[in-house]
Amino acid sequence: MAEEKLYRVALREALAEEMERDDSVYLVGEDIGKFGGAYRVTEGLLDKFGPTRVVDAPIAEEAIVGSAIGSAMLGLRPVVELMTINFSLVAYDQIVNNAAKIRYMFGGEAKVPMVIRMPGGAGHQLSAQHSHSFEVLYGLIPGLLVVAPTTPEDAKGMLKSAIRTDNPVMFLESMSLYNVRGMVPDGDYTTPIGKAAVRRTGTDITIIGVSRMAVLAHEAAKQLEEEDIDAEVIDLRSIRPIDWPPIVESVRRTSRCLVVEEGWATYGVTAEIAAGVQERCFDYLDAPIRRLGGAQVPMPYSLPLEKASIPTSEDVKKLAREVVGRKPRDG
Amino acid sequence: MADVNMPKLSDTMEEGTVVEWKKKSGDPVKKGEVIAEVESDKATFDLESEADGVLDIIVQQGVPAKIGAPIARIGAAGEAPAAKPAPKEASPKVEAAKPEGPKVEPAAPAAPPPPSPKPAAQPAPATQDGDGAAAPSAEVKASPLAKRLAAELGVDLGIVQGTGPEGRIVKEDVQAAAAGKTAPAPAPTRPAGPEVEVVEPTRMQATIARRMAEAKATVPEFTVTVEARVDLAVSMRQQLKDSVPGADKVTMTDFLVRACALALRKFPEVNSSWVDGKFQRKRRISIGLAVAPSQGMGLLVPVVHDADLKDLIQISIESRQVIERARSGRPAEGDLSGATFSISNLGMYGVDEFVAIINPPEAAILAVGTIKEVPVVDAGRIVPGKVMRMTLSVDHRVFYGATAAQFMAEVKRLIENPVTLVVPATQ
Repeated sequence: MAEEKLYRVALREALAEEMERDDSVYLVGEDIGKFGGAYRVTEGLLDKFGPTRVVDAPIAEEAIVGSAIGSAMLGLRPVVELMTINFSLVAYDQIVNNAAKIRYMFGGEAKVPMVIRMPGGAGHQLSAQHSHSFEVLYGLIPGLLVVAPTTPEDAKGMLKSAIRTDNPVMFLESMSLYNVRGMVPDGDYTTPIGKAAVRRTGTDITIIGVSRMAVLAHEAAKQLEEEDIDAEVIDLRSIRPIDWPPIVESVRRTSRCLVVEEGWATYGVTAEIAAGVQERCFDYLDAPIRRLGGAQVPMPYSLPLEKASIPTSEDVKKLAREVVGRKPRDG
Repeated sequence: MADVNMPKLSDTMEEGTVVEWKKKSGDPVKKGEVIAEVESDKATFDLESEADGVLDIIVQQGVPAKIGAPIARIGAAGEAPAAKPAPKEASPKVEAAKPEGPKVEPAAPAAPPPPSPKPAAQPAPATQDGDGAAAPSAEVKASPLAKRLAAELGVDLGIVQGTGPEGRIVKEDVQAAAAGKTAPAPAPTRPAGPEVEVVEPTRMQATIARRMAEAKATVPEFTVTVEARVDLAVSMRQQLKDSVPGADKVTMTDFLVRACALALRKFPEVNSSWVDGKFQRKRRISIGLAVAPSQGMGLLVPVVHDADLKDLIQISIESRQVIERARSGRPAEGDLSGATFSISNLGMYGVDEFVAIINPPEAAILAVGTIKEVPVVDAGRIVPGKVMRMTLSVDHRVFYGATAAQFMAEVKRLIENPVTLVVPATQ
């Protein structure tokens, strides 16, 4: 059976269940204990598990991640919460130079079973230093696993998989998805890391969405049906590694491809996907692969400007029409 | 030296043809690399090399070969190709035509000069007969898919009008051009020529003809028809489409696949075959769906495997995918084989009811008619209702009238109580 739950609640359940299952799992981050987390994901967990397993840390991301890496090397399974992906840049050296490389440099004699949870994305007027989507900064690092679940079911199942994985996982949440509801299966289940999900089947174009943009692409695809464009939607889910087989199978069938991310598309995740699709599907393509990303600006504070800076379902529909070769609709 | 043999690509395939060798004799090939496109009676498949080495082609493209017959060899690099008994064609001709020694292009006076700005050559190409309009074929803008299709269908892209963005030639343009080549526009007057035109069947059509005649000659069949009320199924389908993610494309055929899978589990004797004087009871329940190909005349039967282990939404998604793959001419392995029961639904064409021919070795096939609004008597009152007629063709060697009737009663019960079809699949 299954029950409808909020994305944030699904995450909280995953954390609580994994902490009950395995004593070596602990949480560390800013304001995650008494305050319950900036997005209320860890609410109630301090009372349940105590201050040694739910650790309120000072505002020092480099120290938080560095200490988590050390504890992971010695056998614990830290789950770090960083308040936004922008703040993870303070800890970028620890993540890239230590977390991603230690298992390799130690010849396998040490490992870093650490999860770093952090939300990205705009839409809440949090301005230029709290709103970006930096999937690509982690997607390009060998040694990291990078995932972005978009449904409550995946949020819970993939977080459990991430915690049980012996390698560092960048677990990218989205501020705009925390209040999304969806069916979540009862009991203990995991969702594999490294697998994309086909959210809708279609024959005219394959739209691949990264993180929240997969949800946006699905909305756009439903609306495109009225225009007689039958779009297939793939939720990338795993940014590193990329799950190529379903993407290739789909594009070879539809012959057309559009890739959408909220971050900057230049040098972005969409660039990587488009290049890979082109290499694998060249002789099957009936139109150039198109990419859609956010405006190339620091995220504005002004609400209208912020809205204008992130892709909308209208933007997805417009590009999809161009790829399919339809004239824009009147008006 | 490893032999490359003609693969068996479907249950009914007896021979295949290499449509195109992707590599030439003497080319190095890698394990897993596509070396040829092979056509069976049903579809076209990519043939991958199973070893690293150097390709030595035995059977030229276009020449049919029996299943299992060697069509090429893969030798170790440096290994001399097996002493060739006078190769049938192609490669030596090319070599003979080539001059000895390093290839030196004659200093062609026609060689293009280094690019220099020539503004005058740009406008009014129609009046230009010099370099402005000189090389149209090299400048044709076509998608990679269109180029590949044009090569496969023998279409000259130079004469195709592109309808894509910026005049790009796309798939549909090539297909339209190919169709135009083979099917001239219908003339108002009777075309000149013989009274009867003899048309070569495609490989698929030849197979269908042979197997249908075999079925009618060898299978003693009888039929059983029931009419089911489908008001609930129709409204449940709409509810699913409106409110359940992933169910937006569920069809009445998907409902029938689920219903038949459940009924087959209850009646294993229906999920059986008569082979060499014995019954074969099939453990897996896999349902074939008779569909028309996207182009030309013919029949494809893509298969939803283990349909009894899948819920309605899985069936809906998978049947769409498998039909799409089959229609694209590039099915995955197993997509067209292994069915234990088939469904043919002509309801979308408005057919009231019909009798389908069994596809041996299956023991039965369900023929489904259209959903009609009719007056029905319900608890003594005449009310509007939706009904659908289903006819089961049965191989009488495998099971008998009473079982056929009970099986159809079960299918009818399930489709009339569609809530039974949306509960999760059980192992």
